[in-house]
Amino acid sequence: MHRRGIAITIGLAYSVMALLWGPLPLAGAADVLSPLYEQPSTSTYQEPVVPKYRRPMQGRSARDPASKPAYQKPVVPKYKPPIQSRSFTNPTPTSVPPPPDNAVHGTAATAQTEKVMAPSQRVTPTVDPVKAESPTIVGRVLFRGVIPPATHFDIDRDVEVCGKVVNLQPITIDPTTGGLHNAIVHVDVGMTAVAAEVSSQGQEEVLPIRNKNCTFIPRLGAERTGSEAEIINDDPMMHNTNMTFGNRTVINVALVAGGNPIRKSFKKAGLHMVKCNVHKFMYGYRYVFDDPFYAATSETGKFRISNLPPGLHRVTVWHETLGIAEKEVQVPSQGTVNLDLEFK
Amino acid sequence: MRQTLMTFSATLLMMGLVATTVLAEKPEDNRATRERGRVIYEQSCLFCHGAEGKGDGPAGWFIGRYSSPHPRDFTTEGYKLRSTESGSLPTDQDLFRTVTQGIPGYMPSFVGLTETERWQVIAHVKSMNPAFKEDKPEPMVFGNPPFPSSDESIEKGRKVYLQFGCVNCHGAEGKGDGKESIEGNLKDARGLPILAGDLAERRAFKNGATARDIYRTLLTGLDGTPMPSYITQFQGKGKDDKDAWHLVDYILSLSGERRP
Repeated sequence: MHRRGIAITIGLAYSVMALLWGPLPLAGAADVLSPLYEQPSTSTYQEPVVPKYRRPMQGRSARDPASKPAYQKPVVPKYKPPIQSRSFTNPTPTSVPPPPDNAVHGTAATAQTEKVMAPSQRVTPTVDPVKAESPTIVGRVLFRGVIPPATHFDIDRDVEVCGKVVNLQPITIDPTTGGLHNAIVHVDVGMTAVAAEVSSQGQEEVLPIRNKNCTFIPRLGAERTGSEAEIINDDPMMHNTNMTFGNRTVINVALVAGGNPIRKSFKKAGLHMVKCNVHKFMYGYRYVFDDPFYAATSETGKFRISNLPPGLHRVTVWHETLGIAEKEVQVPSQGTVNLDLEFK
Repeated sequence: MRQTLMTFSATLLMMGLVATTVLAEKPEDNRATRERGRVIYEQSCLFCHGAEGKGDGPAGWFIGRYSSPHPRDFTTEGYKLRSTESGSLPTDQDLFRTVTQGIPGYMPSFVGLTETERWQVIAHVKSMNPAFKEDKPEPMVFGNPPFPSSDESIEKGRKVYLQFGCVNCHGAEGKGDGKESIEGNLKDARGLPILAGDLAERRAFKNGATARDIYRTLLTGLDGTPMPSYITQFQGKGKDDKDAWHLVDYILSLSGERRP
């Protein structure tokens, strides 16, 4: 009897130890010892800072979202790899050196912008505006250069819907004025509290991406973060819609004829590319912004952006093949500014 | 004496079982866990995935820097092997499955690590991308097969295969020799050329080769590759996943297999 008691005690004691320390002594010991080999402050994983507002178009090629800087983990100066690891580079040369930031505008301009946007002088944008009073930029985007010939595709699949030949001409202008269609204009007001406040409004928009006659309709568009794209197939055969942002997939869905539409919300600001892998001539773009100060140009190249906060702002225009053009504009607290942007 | 020994062994066995169960549980995702995961990562994963998890480890010299598929870049989204919707992050279980099973032809299986160690590595890998803190990936709903496999089902699957455009990339016999694949039109998310999977070579299926694995791949798609998610055909209004299971039966039949 007595011996059995001892045996149970030893068994229990061993099991308790096994529970506490685990079968491998060190596996548990690390728990106890970890404070000893953890460096006090540098080794901690730093909480990621709330991502700063990035100027979506400026400073890097808008056509190349891959050159967006990736999330940088705080440097942990702990491990040195035995071999100097070389980073893979994209085979297509992608990195476009950012244009010198202050080369054109100088530090004075930047300082002025900051001054204007100082909290005390902030003007709340009128949400129910008397039209005449809300600061507005009205203008045109022009292109008077030589239009390159259209890209030609011979098609050997689904010819009854797509046609036998597709000629893609991304540059469409109004012949009399030179106004450029389908360029996307954005006013960079900086991610101030004003913009943040405005950006939380009206984000439940649903905008379609239609697959019709082997094109995306609309092919280009500007949207807000938080709005949703509804991807629809109107054609009697299969498409897929593969939307990418940088090298990450936003959505890649197959759309067989008669399938259900599917919705996907835009979470990140930046240039999204829309492609169909079945028909390689099908592609389009969605430019997503954190704020509502954007517009796509009409067929005559005109645009209108209203409810702007006053101050000195940079206006950027993006076109899929022409790239970007910029101008700095002083927006008054009332009234309209006229602005012509030209691609040269 | 014998009784004593037996009691001793019984107690040991019982408590040992409890201890093992406790230890096999997924460890809490705290600093100590991530720290241990980092140590394992640097021993087991760094060679391909790189010190910072950008998929740029020194193995790039051997596996080809421009070859595709590329080691996963853990700092961005776009995971291939998921049970979540297209464009979403994988669940912890998805990562665990990949670490455990490996990817045939590319990534080795890490069953050599204990389950706890695998979870620790996963905690470290997740800490490389802040999106894992913001999003809670939800797995999709995967139904059970509604009917047993049959010749009829395989024949229906063949029709689905043609109708859903699988033939465009994977070819008429599923050998990965479809028109798009042969002409080199397929590119991965980095713009590197990629080939369609050989569906007759079942053991090379990256997302697993069981009927359920194939079913999951059809519904989720493989992000970062041209393989789309077929969720709009199999779920939602007026749709069911019968076609998906027909298609699974057909794909299995290409390598002479049949759903059990």
